[in-house]
Amino acid sequence: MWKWINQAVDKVTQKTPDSVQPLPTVSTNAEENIIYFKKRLGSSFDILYKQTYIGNNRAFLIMDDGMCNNLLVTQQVVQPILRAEKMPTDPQEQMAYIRDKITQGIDQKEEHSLDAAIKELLSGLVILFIDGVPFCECFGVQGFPKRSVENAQTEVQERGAQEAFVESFKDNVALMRRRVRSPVARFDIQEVGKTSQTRICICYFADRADPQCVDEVKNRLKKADLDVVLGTGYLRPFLESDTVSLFSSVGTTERPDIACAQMAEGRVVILVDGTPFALYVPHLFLENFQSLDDYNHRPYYSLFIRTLKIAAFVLSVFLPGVYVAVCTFHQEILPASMLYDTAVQESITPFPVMLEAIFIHFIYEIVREAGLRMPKSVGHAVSIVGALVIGDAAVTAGLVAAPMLIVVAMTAISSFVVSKIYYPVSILRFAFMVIGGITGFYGIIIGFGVLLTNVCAVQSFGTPFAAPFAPLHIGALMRDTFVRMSWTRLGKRELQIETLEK
Amino acid sequence: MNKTSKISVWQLFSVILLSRLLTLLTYTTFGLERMHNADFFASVLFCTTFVALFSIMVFIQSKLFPEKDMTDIAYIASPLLSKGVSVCYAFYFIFAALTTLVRLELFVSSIVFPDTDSTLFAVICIIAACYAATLGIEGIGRASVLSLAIFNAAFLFIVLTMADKIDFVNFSPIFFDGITPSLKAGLNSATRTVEVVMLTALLPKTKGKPMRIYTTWLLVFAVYKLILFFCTFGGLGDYALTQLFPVYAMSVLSEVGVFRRFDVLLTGVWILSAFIKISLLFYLQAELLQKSFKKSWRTGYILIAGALVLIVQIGMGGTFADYFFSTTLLTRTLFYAAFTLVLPGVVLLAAYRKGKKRHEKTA
Repeated sequence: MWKWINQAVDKVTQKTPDSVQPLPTVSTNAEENIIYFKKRLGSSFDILYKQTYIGNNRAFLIMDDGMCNNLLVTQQVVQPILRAEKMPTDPQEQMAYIRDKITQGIDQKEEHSLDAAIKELLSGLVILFIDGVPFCECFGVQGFPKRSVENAQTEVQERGAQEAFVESFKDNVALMRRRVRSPVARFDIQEVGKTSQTRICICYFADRADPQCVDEVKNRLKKADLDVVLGTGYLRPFLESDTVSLFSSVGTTERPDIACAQMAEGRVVILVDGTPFALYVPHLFLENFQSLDDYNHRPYYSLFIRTLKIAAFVLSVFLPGVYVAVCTFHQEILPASMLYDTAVQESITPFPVMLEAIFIHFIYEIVREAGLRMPKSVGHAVSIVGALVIGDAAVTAGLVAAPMLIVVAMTAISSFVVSKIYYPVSILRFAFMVIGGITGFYGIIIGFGVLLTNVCAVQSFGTPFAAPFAPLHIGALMRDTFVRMSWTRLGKRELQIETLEK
Repeated sequence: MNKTSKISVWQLFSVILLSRLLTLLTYTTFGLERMHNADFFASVLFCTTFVALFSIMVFIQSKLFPEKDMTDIAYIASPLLSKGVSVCYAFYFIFAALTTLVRLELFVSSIVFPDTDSTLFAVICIIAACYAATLGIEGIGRASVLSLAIFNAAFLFIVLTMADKIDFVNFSPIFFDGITPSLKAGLNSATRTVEVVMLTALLPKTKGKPMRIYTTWLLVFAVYKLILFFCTFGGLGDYALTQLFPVYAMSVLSEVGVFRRFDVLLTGVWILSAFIKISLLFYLQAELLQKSFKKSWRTGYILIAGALVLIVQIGMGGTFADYFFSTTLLTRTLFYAAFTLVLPGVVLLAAYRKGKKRHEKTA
């Protein structure tokens, strides 16, 4: 069957071409270079070509209109070159003079390959060809439209910094540099995507990141066989553990402060150009229950909040399943009065409890998804309709029992408490509803066992995903898990993620 | 970034303790000759001694060949012997998985779902165990540590919530009918301890000093057993002896406030332990078989073992359960000794002699 599916997929897809071709070098005839550029770039309207003369030599300036700052182009490149005095007559000397004496920018480079020059052009640099010169000069005058730094949307923090990453990865690096002004912070650039040639930045602290881990990250990303990379999600599967799990072994953050904190623990952060989210590895399961606010509050409150989050996780995964199991198989667990009330309510509904639970949770997920994807102005209407339909009409119509509605509400609110793992949680919830309805509480226990073994088997770049609980590391456990030490002790030494491997 | 597939000594401790506690929770006095409840306390001591005796070969193995399991040791003597040994041990592990499932189904069909067919439950359990076995020893080892923590919490909770029911009047005089019933009960319990055989395969997969932790395990297990017997017979007296699953009968007594029937907690952790144990047994048999036969068939061996267990359990209509109730203590002891003393003894001796000969030749 797999063969048949693969064949069907092959019919509608095309293998991405391998662009391993000999790179043409810059010709001394500038016009030939322009012809090559036009051949490669086609008739794109945003690529501007300007022919001029520098002294007696013919020259060409090429720029991508949308990617350059026009004012900078005029002030730093065109005007200084055209108004230059004492310009040498020899073309090569001319180019050297322009590079060393005329233009003032630091971001300047010499390119001998035409394809490399095209790449620079599309990155927002201005290219200068002069007849008789076997290379071109690229001037950095980028100025593409971008969003300014705004507040974090998915990792809201009560106290502390509010800045979030933006789409421009240079700005993101700057946001991190500003927080860690140390020479040990390294930001290595790589490219992924055959066509998109997306730039990614691998960030780590040279003095504490495991060099093997850094190399492994670089290698895996280098081997990523992708055509276009438009977000961090494209790269995530290449960094995930070999063990298939619902929970991701790659962390995500939109906050530069969290990214810096991860680097300080010896982890590797990956920024992707065009995405306001960073990935980091190794990632631990327990980190899904931590937030930066935990470190701004006092330790006792952090303990309380983290315990609350774990409880919310347990509720959001198991509550509907356990409710179904109890109503179907283990009524004896309930106190008599509660049993009577629940039985009366459930007897009115036409569906078995399991189907009722699946139905109502399915409706809830539809409403949630609609609220998420709709324009904000319509979102409120969706909420009202959802609340009316689920909250009132379904109960009045006798489709859903009132206790079930309480279960849905509690589950929904609990799942938002652990928003980082909302997606696996929602899938697991459905799975446990089915298991609870078929095999009762004991099936749920087996399901829990499978989940536990799966989470324990996941390794994120050599670090067990379930650490420091399994394997048990008392030092790490007492330092910053449920319990968080005070900064007077926590600040003295940073956790080394590498030590959790042992 | 170090890739190892070994477990720590504490993971080994958890995995074998959990495995043995599972047998303890479903301890049944059925088939034993009539004895007074206080004699069970003495039987704990005898059981521990017997288990220690049955473990002699494991101690020798850890001294002479610390980094090798029985298949590797047998390979020193002869590759054919190695194949035979791995098949024998794989058979034993599948057999142990089957007995675990039999107990599980017996429990489920008599206590949990007395009115419904428990076949589906058994199928789900085996599928889950097969999946967990494919995840490897590290996953199972780590999960067992967390499961043991959950087990302990549930165990402590039940003991505390039924503590007020314990009455010393319920205990009978010890050795009232002599020492023989206690001895037999001790031997009966010891022959149900598959962990000794498990250890022969787990030793090379453990970092550190496993035999030290094994000794600790023997003592901790005895303490657990004593506490459980104390609560069961202290709370139920001789009534416990009339129950198929006395520990479960004890857990039914636990209550706090308006909440009662915490037996569901005990049943929950018991099923979790059964799942871990069956997964481990499937994993171990696949590991041994892949060493001697085709390596890439690891998942295949696990699936075959799962299918075999299900076929025997479902296909034979539960007749396998008779093993528990109709087999005599002598037969069971001989069967057990064959895998804990005879087979390892033969393999160790053959490997030792072969090794010695080689050493003499090279000298």
